[in-house]
Amino acid sequence: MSDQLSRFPYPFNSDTYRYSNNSVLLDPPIAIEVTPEYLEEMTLKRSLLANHPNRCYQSLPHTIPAQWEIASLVLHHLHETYPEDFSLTKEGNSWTFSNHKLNETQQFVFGDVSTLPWEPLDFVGRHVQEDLILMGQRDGDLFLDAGQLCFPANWSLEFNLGMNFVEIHSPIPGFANGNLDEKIRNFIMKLEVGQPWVRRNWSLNAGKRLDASLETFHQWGQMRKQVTAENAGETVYLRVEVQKLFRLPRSHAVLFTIHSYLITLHELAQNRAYLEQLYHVLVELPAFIAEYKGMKLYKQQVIQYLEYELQKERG
Amino acid sequence: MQKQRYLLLMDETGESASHDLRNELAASSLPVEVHPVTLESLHRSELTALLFRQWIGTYLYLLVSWPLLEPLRQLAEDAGFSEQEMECHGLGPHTRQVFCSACQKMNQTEDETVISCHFCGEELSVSEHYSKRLQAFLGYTSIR
Ligand code: HEM
Repeated sequence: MSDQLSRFPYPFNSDTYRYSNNSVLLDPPIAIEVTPEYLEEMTLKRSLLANHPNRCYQSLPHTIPAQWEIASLVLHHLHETYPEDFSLTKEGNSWTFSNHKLNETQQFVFGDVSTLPWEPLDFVGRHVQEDLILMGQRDGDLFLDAGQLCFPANWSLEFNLGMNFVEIHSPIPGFANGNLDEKIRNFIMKLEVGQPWVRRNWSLNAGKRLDASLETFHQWGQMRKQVTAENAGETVYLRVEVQKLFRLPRSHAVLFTIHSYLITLHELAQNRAYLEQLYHVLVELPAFIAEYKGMKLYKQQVIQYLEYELQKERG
Repeated sequence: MQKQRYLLLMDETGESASHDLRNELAASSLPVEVHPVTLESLHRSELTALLFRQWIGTYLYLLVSWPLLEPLRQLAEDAGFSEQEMECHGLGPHTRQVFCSACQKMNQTEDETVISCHFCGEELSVSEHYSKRLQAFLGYTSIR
């Protein structure tokens, strides 16, 4: 198995896929993962933030205290998990963070926004591959109060800012059946400090595009028309989002992190079990889910490609 | 449902449009509570609390400008009001706002399901995805 494939967060544990609460306890309880793609992705992230600030960063004014909690959590996780690459030293409220991968050092007074070049959430987001979303909890509900989002899977942070959990998920067909949306919201509202959860979400992407923003869909979406059974191995990617949920102790808000991974179907097919399972999942996938995930135009081509690969291996 | 009391939620436009209704209700001898609403108060917990603490028998009137009506109606529904327990009046011009996902500008529309954005020209299909903050529906672009 290639290095990329062995690191890939493969999302399926069954030959069929339906929407469900597929969250499990996160062990070890670390929010951040630094991969060999770090430098490449940070360059992309920084340029998106510079060119499209409103698309990539939004916050409501009351969120600064919770943002500091996120900053503290992320910086500690970076330093404790990757001490060679990131260091954090503190003298009282005077903090110094060094990112040795990017050769950057930032000194600031913890709790004083005027000592940072950006809001705390916007600052720490610039040092991790993850997108970071802050969900405030009040009045028995969860609200999207702030976020830094550079690699969305076709949704708009600017449009969704301020919405509650159910409103955010309302575009997903069938997601409210059996009150699944409310059950998941209630599950998140019971999240405990020190007990983070993780889940994997998946879709297919035509083209290598971490920044699948809704704002530019009319451009990158065109790639869907180019997919054929012959080129699907190289043009179509399995996209997996590793999503984690952390309770913040002081503000009682929730940190939702999204780390997006892409791998070509050709690369994935090097693992026979993965190849077979993805084939079964796609063949069985209900049309409404395929349509929502945006694969209607090329699902058949992908299935043909996978069939061809399966036969090849049978010899 | 036996009506026991009335609750009126209205904004400035509702204020002037509700004279007749208020006279009528005043004559009914049932208690009437009038509560002003604004776009800002939609997000405040007092309004939610007001709706949630109502007893069975409260009949609700909403008299507000069109953009406020849908979010208010949803809030009332969340608080347990059924269609039989409320009356909704949208006032003023019946336009709805559509947020262009491509250029992030706001389009004023009537009830078209497909529009071309007045600002960037992209074809937008108007969805049911609604933002209370922006008071707008999301317009999705397509790849035709
Ligand atoms: C609390 C933080 C969360 C936020 C901010 C969030 C946000 C979103 C957004 C913006 C979308 C795209 C909706 C659109 O098309 O506009 C989405 C999709 C979805 N979310 Fe969440 N979500 C959260 C947590 C969860 C959790 C915990 C679950 C399940 C256990 C979940 C399940 C889903 C599913 C199944 C989809 C559809 C994805 C697909 O089919 O590709 N979400 N979410």
